[in-house]
Amino acid sequence: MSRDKPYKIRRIDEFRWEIPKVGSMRVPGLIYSNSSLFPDIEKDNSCDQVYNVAHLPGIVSRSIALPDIHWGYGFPIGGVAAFDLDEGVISPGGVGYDINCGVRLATTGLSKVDVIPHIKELINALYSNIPCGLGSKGGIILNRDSMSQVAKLGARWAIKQGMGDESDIERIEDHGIMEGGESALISDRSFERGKNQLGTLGSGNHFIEIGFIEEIFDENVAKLWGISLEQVTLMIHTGSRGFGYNICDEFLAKMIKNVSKEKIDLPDKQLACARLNTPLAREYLAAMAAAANFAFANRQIIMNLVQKTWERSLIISPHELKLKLLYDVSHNIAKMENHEVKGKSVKLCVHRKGATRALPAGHPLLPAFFVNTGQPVLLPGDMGRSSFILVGAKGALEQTFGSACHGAGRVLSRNEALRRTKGRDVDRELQDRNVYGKAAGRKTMREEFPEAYKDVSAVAEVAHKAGLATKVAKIKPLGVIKG
Amino acid sequence: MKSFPEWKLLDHTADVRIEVRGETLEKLFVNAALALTYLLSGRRKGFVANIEKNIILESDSLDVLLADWLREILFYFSAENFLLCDASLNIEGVHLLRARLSGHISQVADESYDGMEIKGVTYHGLSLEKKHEGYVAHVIFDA
Repeated sequence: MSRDKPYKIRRIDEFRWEIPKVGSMRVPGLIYSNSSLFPDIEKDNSCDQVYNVAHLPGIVSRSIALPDIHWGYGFPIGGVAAFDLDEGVISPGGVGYDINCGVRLATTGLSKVDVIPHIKELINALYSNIPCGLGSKGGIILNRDSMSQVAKLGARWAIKQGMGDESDIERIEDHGIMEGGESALISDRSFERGKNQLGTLGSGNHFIEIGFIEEIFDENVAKLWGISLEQVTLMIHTGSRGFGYNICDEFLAKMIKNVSKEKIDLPDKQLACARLNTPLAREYLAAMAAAANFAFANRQIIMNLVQKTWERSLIISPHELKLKLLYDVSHNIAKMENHEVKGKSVKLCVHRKGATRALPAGHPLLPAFFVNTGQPVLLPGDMGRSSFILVGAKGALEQTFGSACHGAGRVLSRNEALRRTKGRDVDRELQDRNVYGKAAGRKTMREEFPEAYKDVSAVAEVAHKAGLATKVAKIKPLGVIKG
Repeated sequence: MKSFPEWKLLDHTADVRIEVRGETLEKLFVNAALALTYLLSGRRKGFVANIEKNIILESDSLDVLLADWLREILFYFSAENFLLCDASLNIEGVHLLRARLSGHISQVADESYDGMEIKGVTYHGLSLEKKHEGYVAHVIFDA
């Protein structure tokens, strides 16, 4: 495949491949993978996307892809790129349509034996009570004023409405608020697409999953985080819904025009961008922050809905359920952060497109609870096998601008997944693996069947061995709802 | 792989990629919009048009005009539950589009569709070419 490519790929070591700088690339590309995962990466266009991102103005050090890399649009999914504030750019496509799509993980006071006999009842109740599926509506209806408050306050808005506990704030990236969320920049169209989608899950790969801790790798960190074997967990994956999609859409269209005006030469229109020191970039960053805050509020609200549903359906008290947020991470976002470049601390704009921040112990941005351990890095896998909890490691700061992978990463297209599962009863197959699943879309379970994803154990292993984030625990799913 | 005379689905690892054909530019635009209707609703036919809209769009190039057209259709569906049934349109001058849309807005509360959630119309791999037999375009949707 690489025969026709304008670049070559060379293996550096067991877990890293490099695309050396050629032509008008400004930096080299760097891909984290291993011998079993790499052949799949070569089958699609994801390496081209690493190469394309390396052309963006002001990119620093390298265009990075993490071990869950797969073909997206513009940036690869699993892509990280950092930009100099004077020379560099912000690219909405490097954040994605689902701004601040992310994952939160909560622990409970229940053991798997408490939940397994009731898992169908619980999943059915969650499915009935939490709006999910195509364009899911039926959440909280916002007016212009309340939308402005959500855009400004993020998860704190939900907590003020009684949905969650003040202590949750310490367990959300950036305390659940991205500073600078500016409601004046929210267009009527973005408001319209988001006004009745707060508190809704969405569709596709968004999910709510009940699982349990199957294996612990780091006893010390697990203990500090309150994680124990067979403990039941809750994981939520969703983002900023139509509100974020529309903000990305509008700014991309503006930046498509902008690149012609600024004469920025790009290998892919989807990389449309604006220089960080321009008004357009500042406007996007403020609108992006508004969408990020919507997403933080959304996950907070959904967790609250899950808690209420769980208590009611299994007739247990909050004290028995003991649902406690471990952490909430963003995996589609751009952030201003200080990183060391050539021995100096420099403020950069770090784009993470399908990538999670992975700060190690002692980092100044960590909430007090995680200062001695580093932050949780949440790696949801597919709905049949497992997911991982890792902890940010020093290597991430040294190699990937403090980033690690965000999940398993798709390996099959939806079409291919449908072809492979034709005539199969995926629900039944899942139940044979002791997982009860329910989805809003008729084809969702087949499109999302476990083998449509890379083996998350292999992805976690690469992150672990490359020193980006180290393994703490493995989660086995018991039940899942998909949109 | 889903395939109709006017358009077909192509493989894309994470998202949804289509190839659309049309004897004329106008037909290509209508076919692309109806492909989007199918992706959103999971059905080709059976929706009764009960509302019309007029739109005008102008873009810097033809491929971007196609993306802008699909963005418009997607917005009406996402914000107003307006599902496109048919359209008549003219592309004038360099890249000016005037269209009359016929759409279906459900009168049934909570009518749900069995399609997929399309988050956006991307510019990645976007192409529009004139071939011997007409026009061919490629579009990737974030889904």
